[in-house]
Amino acid sequence: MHIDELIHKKSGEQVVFFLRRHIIVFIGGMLLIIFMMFIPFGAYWLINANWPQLLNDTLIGPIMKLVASAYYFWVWLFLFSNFIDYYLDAWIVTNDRILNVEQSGLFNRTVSELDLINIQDVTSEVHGVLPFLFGYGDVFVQTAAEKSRFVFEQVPQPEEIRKRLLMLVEEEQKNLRSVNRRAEE
Amino acid sequence: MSFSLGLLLIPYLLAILLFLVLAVLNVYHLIRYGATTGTSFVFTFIFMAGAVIIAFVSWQMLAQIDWTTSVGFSLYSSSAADLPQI
Repeated sequence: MHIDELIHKKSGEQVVFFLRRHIIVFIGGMLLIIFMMFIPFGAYWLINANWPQLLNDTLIGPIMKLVASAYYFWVWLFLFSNFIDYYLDAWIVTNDRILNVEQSGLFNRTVSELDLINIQDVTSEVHGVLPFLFGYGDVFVQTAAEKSRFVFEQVPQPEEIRKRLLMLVEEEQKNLRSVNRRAEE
Repeated sequence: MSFSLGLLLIPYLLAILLFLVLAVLNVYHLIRYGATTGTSFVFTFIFMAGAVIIAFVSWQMLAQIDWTTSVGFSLYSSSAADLPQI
């Protein structure tokens, strides 16, 4: 994803993290969809074993073939839409702010921005066997802004992200204090 | 009541048309939001290749059917032997 299309970087601003959900989340969804592609074969085997005359029927045979064809097209599209949903969700952390880009379906896209200085607390959570094994989880960012909480969902190494975010917030607060001190002088 | 088998193609083709529209919208989203990376290119290619394969197999399967055949609904079998004997 082109970062420059999402944010206008200020002078001195650097991208620290560019995050997406852990790939295993997408693979899990993909495996389910691949399983769905085997359902027509199972249905064919079942019908062939119990009601073979249906497959050769003048009306029902063509209907089943049309339904199977349409089903495969739509399951394939569902797989691609799943990828789009995964790929267009991103969290960008710079040394100045956090950007939350969320794609929900085809026609819903939300982009939220939060300055690091407004961050009050950062919490990381890993719940479940798969998140524990593959090292992914959620990072909750508590803010003093209008949107009180940002969530980085199912991101890899959430503890590391939490530590780095807190370090960035501390640096930003230090910079602000020194700027204020210089302004007072 | 009877109708041509070809009538069944109408809802099928509508479903395929909707599939095409949504597929184009998906690709548009990738391009529009700057996700034109190698990964998205590979996935888009795999998607299009898969769609072409499904279309080819569907064509092979559906081309064997005579869509001009007239089919009808009836509650009873046309064979007199199947009617209950009094």
